[in-house]
Formats: sequence, C-alpha cells, structure tokens
Amino acid sequence: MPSAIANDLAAVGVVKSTREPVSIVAANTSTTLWQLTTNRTAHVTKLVIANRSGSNIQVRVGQTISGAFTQKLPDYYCPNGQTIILTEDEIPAVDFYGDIIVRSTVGAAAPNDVQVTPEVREYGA
Amino acid sequence: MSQGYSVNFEPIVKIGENLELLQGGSRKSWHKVTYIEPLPASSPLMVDFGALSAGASSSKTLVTAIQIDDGYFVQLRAYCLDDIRVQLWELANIPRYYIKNSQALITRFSRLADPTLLSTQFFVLGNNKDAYMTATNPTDYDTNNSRIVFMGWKYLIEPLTAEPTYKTTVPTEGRS
Repeated sequence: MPSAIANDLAAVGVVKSTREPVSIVAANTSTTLWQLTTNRTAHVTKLVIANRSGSNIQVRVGQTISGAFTQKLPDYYCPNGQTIILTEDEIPAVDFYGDIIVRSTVGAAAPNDVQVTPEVREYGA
Repeated sequence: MSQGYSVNFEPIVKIGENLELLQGGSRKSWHKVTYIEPLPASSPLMVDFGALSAGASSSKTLVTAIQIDDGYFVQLRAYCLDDIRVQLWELANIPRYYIKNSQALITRFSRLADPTLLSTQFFVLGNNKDAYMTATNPTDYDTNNSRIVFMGWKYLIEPLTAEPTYKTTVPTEGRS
C-alpha cells in the first residue's frame, strides 16, 4: 500500500471508544469526561447531553492545563427536559492532550439529572 | 539467497525449496519444505489474555494457540482486537522486536502504521521453542477482553545435513 495512504489512515486514528454517562451535579465544577491514555491524542467525535435539572444548561468541554480548566469546545446549550446529540460533523476536531473535562453552568438537584456521554477517537502508537 | 520478508503475506518459500533457520547464538539449520498450509485469521488463533484493569499487565503467557510439533515451522503475523499492547518473547526469555533500550510492541495501531503487518512477522520452530506474550492495558479504563489474533502459514520441513546452495534465510529466535 502506498505510504501516503498508510499515513492518512494513521492520521484517522483507530481506537474509538464510548464510556458510560457521566453525571454532573455541581455547577461549574470539573468532572472527568474521558481519561486519555498516556502518549495519545484524542478528538471528541460524539456528545450526548441529557438534561432534566429543571433549568436550561450550557455544557463546556475542555482540559485542565496548569491546574486550571481550559475550555476547548464551544458552549453547547441543552434546554431543560431535552437530550441533544452532537455528531462528529458538529464538533470541532480539537486535539486533547490530557483528560477531557466537562462542566455544566447550572447545578443539578440529583445525580444523573445532567448526563453527558462522549465518544472519543484516540490517536497514538 | 532470499530473505523471508515480503510485504505481501505469502509463504516465504515454495514446496520443494530450502530454508536456512537462524536460531540462538550462531546456530543454523537447513531444511527442505515438503508441505505448506495457510492459517487464516480466525477464532482458534485468537488469544484472550483476559480482563485487565487500567494500566495492568498479564503475566508472561505461553501462547498455546500457535504451538507446533517438531518437523513443523510456522510463519505468523498478528494484530490486536482490543486496545492493548503486546510484548513477544521466544523461548520465554528472549525478547523479540528488541533493540538496545526498547522492545517494540504489537498494538491496535500496528495495523494502521503497517497495513500488511510485516513488522509483526515472527516464526516458531518446532516443539518447545514456543512464543510467550504479555498483554498490557495502556488505557485508564478496565477492559474485559485483551485479544490478539494470529494468521500465517504452516510448513512441514525435513532436515538437510548440508548447507544448500539455494535457500531462504529466516530468523526463528530473537537476539538480544
């Protein structure tokens, strides 16, 4: 196979994983959405956000850099009582070099009132 | 003299041709190939090292799925079905894919960087010259399965008493 094609395939990444829903309770508090494997880079390829908190929320996805939350994807709005599904075409292919962190702008009264499930593609060797 | 590496995954010799097998130290042996059979990638050649916690490794395990009897020789390539990293040893204490400070691994990404899996190719010669492997879960999540699949070619070989003029040379053990 020509090396150019092999290089393109390597750039696509091979490990695509989904984890169980992450529950966000406290407002504006970092919760780990995805623990990135050491020496790999990741892209978020899908996000499912379910909100029954009683309020409209904004979900922010980023990384912890130098001890502080750094937002890397734009705010995603999720009205109360709804589930939004964002696919790869709608999510910028931002590189994550560390654990992926998620926050909600509004707190939830109970666990699982706000749930976020990611699908992630990891690149590496 | 040809070498036993080809991008295409085909037998390294034809029936009736000769092999020179390089073993540990400076040992060599010569053989005539009398029969060849494919070993397609399939569940009997799939090895599952079992559930691994995040960051955990299995013990060094004898890979019984690819053991063979004396008088046979197998040419194998491998790929990981799960997100694991696999180390290979032959004779349990000789690392393969090894250079001075590093032992290269078979991973989920091996097939992307090397679609033909030529870089994973290894050989197992006869009884008690077995392959051993260790699987590691490099992720931060537990895995229920840690599987690797093999595929290859099986050769029936007869020993030759003298070095043949025309032969294909193949390394069957690692050199550290």
